[in-house]
Amino acid sequence: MSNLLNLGVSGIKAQQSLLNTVSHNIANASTEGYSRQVTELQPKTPVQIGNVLIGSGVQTAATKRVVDALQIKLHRDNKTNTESLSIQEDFLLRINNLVADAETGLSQAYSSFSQALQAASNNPGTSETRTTLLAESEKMVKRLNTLDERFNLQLRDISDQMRSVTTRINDIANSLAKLNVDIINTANQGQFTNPNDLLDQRDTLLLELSGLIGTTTVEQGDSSINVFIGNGQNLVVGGTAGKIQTQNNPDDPSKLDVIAVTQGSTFTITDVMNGGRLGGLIQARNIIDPTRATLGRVALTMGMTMNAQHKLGVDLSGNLGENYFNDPNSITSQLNRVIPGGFNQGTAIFGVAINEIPRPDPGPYKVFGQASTMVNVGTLSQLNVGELTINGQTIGASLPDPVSTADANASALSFVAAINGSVGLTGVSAKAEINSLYLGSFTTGAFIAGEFQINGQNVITTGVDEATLLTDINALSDVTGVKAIGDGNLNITLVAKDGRNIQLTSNTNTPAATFTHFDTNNGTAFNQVQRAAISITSINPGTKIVIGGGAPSEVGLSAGTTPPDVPSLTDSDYSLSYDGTNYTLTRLSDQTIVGTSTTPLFNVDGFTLMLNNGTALAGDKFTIRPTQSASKEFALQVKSGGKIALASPITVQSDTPNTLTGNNVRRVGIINTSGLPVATNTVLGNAFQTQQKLSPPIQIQFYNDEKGNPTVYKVFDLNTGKQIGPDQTFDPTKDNEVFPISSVVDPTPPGPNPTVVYDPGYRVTIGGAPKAGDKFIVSYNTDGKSDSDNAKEMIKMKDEKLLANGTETILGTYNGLVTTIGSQTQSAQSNKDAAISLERQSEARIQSLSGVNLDEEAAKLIRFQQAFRAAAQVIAAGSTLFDSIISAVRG
Amino acid sequence: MPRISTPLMFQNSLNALLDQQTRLSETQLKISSGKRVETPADDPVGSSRLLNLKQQKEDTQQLQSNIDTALNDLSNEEVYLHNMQRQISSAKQLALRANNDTLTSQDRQSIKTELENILKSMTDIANARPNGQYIFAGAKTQTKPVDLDLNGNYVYLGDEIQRQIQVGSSIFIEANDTAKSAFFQVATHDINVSQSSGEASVTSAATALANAGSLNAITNGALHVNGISLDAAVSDGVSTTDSTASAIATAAAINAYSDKHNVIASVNATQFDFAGGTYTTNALAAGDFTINGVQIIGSPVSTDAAGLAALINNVGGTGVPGVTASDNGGQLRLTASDGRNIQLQTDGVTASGANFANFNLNGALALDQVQRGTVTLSDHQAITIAGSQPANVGFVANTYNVTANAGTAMLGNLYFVEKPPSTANNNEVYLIKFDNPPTTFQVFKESDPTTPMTGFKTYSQGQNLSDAVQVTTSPVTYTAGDTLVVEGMHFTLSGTPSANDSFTIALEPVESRDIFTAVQNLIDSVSQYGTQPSRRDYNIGLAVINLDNSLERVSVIRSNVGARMQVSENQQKTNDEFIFLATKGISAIEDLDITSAISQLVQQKLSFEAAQRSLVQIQRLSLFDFL
Repeated sequence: MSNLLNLGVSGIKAQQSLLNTVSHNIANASTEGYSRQVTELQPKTPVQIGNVLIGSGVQTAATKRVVDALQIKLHRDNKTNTESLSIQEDFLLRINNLVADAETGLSQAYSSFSQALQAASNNPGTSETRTTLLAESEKMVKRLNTLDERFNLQLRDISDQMRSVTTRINDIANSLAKLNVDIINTANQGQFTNPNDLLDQRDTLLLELSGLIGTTTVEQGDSSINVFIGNGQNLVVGGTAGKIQTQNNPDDPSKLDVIAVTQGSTFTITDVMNGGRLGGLIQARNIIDPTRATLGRVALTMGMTMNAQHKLGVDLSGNLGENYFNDPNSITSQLNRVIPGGFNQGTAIFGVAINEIPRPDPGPYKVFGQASTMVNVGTLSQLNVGELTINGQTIGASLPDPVSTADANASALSFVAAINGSVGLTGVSAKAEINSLYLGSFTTGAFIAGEFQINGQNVITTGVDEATLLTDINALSDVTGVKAIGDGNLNITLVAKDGRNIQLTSNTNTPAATFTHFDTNNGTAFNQVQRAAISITSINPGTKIVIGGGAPSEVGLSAGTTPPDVPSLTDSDYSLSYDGTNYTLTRLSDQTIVGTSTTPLFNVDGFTLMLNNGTALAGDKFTIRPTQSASKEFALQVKSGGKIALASPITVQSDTPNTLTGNNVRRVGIINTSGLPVATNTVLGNAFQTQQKLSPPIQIQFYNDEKGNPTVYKVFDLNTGKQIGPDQTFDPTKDNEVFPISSVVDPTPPGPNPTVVYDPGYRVTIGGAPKAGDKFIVSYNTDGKSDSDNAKEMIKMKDEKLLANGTETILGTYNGLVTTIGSQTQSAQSNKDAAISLERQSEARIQSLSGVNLDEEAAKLIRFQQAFRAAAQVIAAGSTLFDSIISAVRG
Repeated sequence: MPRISTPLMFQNSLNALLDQQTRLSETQLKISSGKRVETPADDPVGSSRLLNLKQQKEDTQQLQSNIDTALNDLSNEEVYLHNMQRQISSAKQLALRANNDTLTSQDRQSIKTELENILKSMTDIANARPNGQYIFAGAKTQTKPVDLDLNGNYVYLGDEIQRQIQVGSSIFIEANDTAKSAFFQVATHDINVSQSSGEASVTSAATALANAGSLNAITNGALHVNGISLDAAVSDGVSTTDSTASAIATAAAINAYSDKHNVIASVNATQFDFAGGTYTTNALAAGDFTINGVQIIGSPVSTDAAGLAALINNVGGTGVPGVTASDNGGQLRLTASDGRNIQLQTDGVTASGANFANFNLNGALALDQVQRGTVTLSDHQAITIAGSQPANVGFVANTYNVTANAGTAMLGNLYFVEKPPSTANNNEVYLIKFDNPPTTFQVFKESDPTTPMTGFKTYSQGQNLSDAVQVTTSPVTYTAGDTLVVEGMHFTLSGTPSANDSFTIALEPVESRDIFTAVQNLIDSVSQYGTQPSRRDYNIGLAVINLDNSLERVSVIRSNVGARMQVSENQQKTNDEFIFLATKGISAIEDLDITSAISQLVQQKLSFEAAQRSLVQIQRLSLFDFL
């Protein structure tokens, strides 16, 4: 009977705890992270009465959370993924809108700039078009600056978020450690306490942590949980919380690194965060960085090419153009591109200069070789197999030409024959240039047989004056192939038009007659020879000329590629390390070593890296960011419309009675206005050495050839009146390039000097049908206010493929960037949508198992209430029984 | 059936509601902007095509604006050129009016004044400066292009740059023309006339008999005539040996460059005289005596030169082709009248038909020898012979001057009448050459030195131009004091000529005068020669031609401008079409299909409302409500 009471009480107690649990569930129905709990009952140990076991009631076994640990883990992973993608999408959307928007993007501004340039080119004489161009240029510059600034803003935002996320992660780690302790303690306190709510709390915190950083968790036997991040760094182990922190990247202080600190040691986990908000931020940063680099590349390309072209023109005042945009290679800019490592021991400061960006040149290309000097007969080098390769083809040995009288197998003609033997394979043809030999000043006097021989023929002359000498030399021309030309002032030049060798011989006689550069009266016998230069031209426009081999100098050529292969800038950053002996330059985008050298000088990927100052020590590291700061530094240099150099620096004028007009003589290009010689050794130098002047102005005059056809033209230096180079042959079927002029003699004693190639730095062609006496003057364009030749060249840049090794235009590169960001954004969006739906699914699964269903709880409530009442009835029954017994006893 | 927790039920409904709302708002945004693609992220592939299309469209629009500029500039220029044409036409009409005997000096004065005004207008047009820029100055738009220099000559001060404007992807058109090309490059027919008498001539030396194959021909560079190097001679096609070294071949090589050196080479007959001959009637056997490859076989009809000549001329019935034998005072002579080489051969077998001191038919040696004829070079100017080996063809390097006429005949009173010189003869040289005896003469043009001219007119002393009669035959009988009218030239021959005396009239055009000077010259002519009919005729006639040519030049430029405008306009249409297509393409990618978007919107709105309703309904479902 007391048994019955006990049974009833145990039932009441049990139902009470069930009701408690239900009420707890109902109360927490809306609590975030709450898992519904169930209380399990079990019968008490039965009591043996006699040989019968009788139940002794009920007791609560445990109150448990209804959870699926695997689902929770899965959900955490989903959360990690969603958060990472969301933050990426957030940043991508921002820059997507920035680059694509007409108001903030570059496309529109660049188009406006191009249009303004066109308008200025169409109407170069009016100040309105120039002012507009200036304004549009400024707008475009500002647009690039602003874009970069906005990107920078995003990067700063990323850094800020990284800091706050890190703080929160540390908070959570501390809380988790504390919870671990609490949970262990609670679990240890015995049967009647349970850590369910603490576990929920921990799960909630873990979920939040997973949203911030990718984690792995390991549950321990004592209910505590260990949390690892990165590639296994401890964040929480039992009751101990690790710590992560942000710090500046030692190689690139503009970037933040994430560092895990565990037991005094630190690990950089920036790139191994496996998602979460922090991982997403790093990803976003990795997208923005190359985007900025691409913008920088665009800015540098515009700056370099526009400046280069602008310097080739003249402004309204007739002055050569200055930089149009700021100089991308100012010393500050150069130094800004290299960031010394934080742990560097040495003092080295490096700079990076951006290489000139070549404009597309369709060719055909031409390379001039070097003529020999006068050397003793027999000493000219002939061409042997292996000494010269052209476009990869080995050129055969030179064989004697039929006309040279000495060293015939080492003449320009023999070299040309050897090279032209492989035309089909090399795609280039060679030509012997005119052999010009400046003898210097003639001291009048007679020559008898043996005293002065040209190509084996005795020059016999009274030599009383220049005319007599020339006549007597030229009487032999049919045999010698050599003509003599004087300047009326006793300065004699010998010319072999077909490019054969010129051999000069003199015996030991001492005639009065002599030349400054060929001393016939010093009592020594001379037997000397000069070889002409050769030139090499590609047959088809696109064929490059690659000269190599063991000794290309044997034929007067230098090894090299024309036009040179210039690799383009990339978006990548680079890393330079020094091991005490070698410098190693690595491209970071593909981790390729692009250069190893003992000298601190690299020319790769469109830039030149060089030591500016100091010395490096072993272990020093440098980060090179060639393009990152360019769009920030981009600025307009030209400050007034009149300073815009739209015109060509040269002008061509015909004399009035000409058959040809200025239309037949065309300015076809300006190559170099630096004032520095274009070709080596040139006696006249660059044509733009003096302000507002051509040095020298040039006159081109036509003459009849000996058949009476006007196919000969001479190029005169108008400052001295002297002819530059030998007579040139005009081909009426095509445009004839006047410059460069080869076989120009250098009249400077002591001679005889080798002939040189004269390149004034500009190009002029002559076409049409000239008449003897036709004259053209090439002079400085002092007053060409409405000339827009240079503007036309600047306009061309828009359509030229200047980037990515000649595959992309400026705008194409930018539009490519816009498209790339667009598709990245789109894929981030759809990935995020997918991740969200996965997250929702896992959350739904958790909820369906662990969530509170109020209807269910209501039903349970009713059920437990009924059970409670029943248990109460048991007690009541017990009580009635007891009363019955008492009354019976009383009786 | 899975268990549903209460918060999940709400969450699900809420998620659905929010999703619907987002979609609804996206659709609504697209409808309000009308764009399907708002940012590249909406359609990365489409947007990259979109960027390209937009770029192309913008480029083409830029071309359209270039074309507007070009058309504007060109139509401006066109107006000025048209105006210039009118001015020139007026000047021409005035010139024709001025060429009239009946004008009073007052009339002429007023014509002169009017012409001066026209000239002023013309320079004003050339110096036109719309929008503050000289349009005919090339690129020197701030420099007045046409002005008088210190000597009073019209000069062009601009440059020769034509601004090129891009109107198509690879089409550039010039947006301006310079005064130099429009007004200073006029082909004028102002002519310098020079007259001279006498002629320079040189004849090459004939060779002696030489072994066949040993004659030198003209090789490259061997002979220079008046500075012109001749090409190597080619075979004459008739000589039996040394055919490139014959007089015919030499003359042909020289005449190949007559237009350059002006010298005419004529071939003289080749002549070979046999000396010291013994003549018999003995028969000549085959191989005894061969002339130009023809064997002389048979017996001479008599024992003298005539007999042998008769045999030679009749051998084989036709004689030796191109060669005639004759009796030259008892000696045999061979003549090749066309100047071909004469080749003589004997086989070394003793012949008895004939023998000569300079060609031994009886010797034991076989002979094969050749003689070349001579070439005479003539010109009205000095002839210079040079080159590495002029002696190869019998010349000596030297300058041969004009030999004065031996007679006293004169050519005088030279001027142009009838018609001004046409373009046909403004570079011609006329040669009046007396025959031997000098009772007749012939007129030649240097451009056709072998055909004597006919068709010109002549009248005698005391007669007038109106009496002139046409000459139909040549040679023309010479009468002192006769006046000849040849292709607009008027001249009188007088005095007593000697045989072969000659006169030359050379016309030389003065090129590239400007149209302003042409008008100025007209003004000067009107005031100076108004009362001298012949000078006036000539000068005003010349002025009219110059004005015609000016007009033509300006017309050429103007039609060129018109052509460029047309190219631009055509291009404009092409560009318009392209812009239209690009716009369509852009729209296809970028624009929204409004109809489907709106039906989508309606659908999404329905779903959204359903989601709202279900949320409210779910809220009401709770067991607790029933407790």
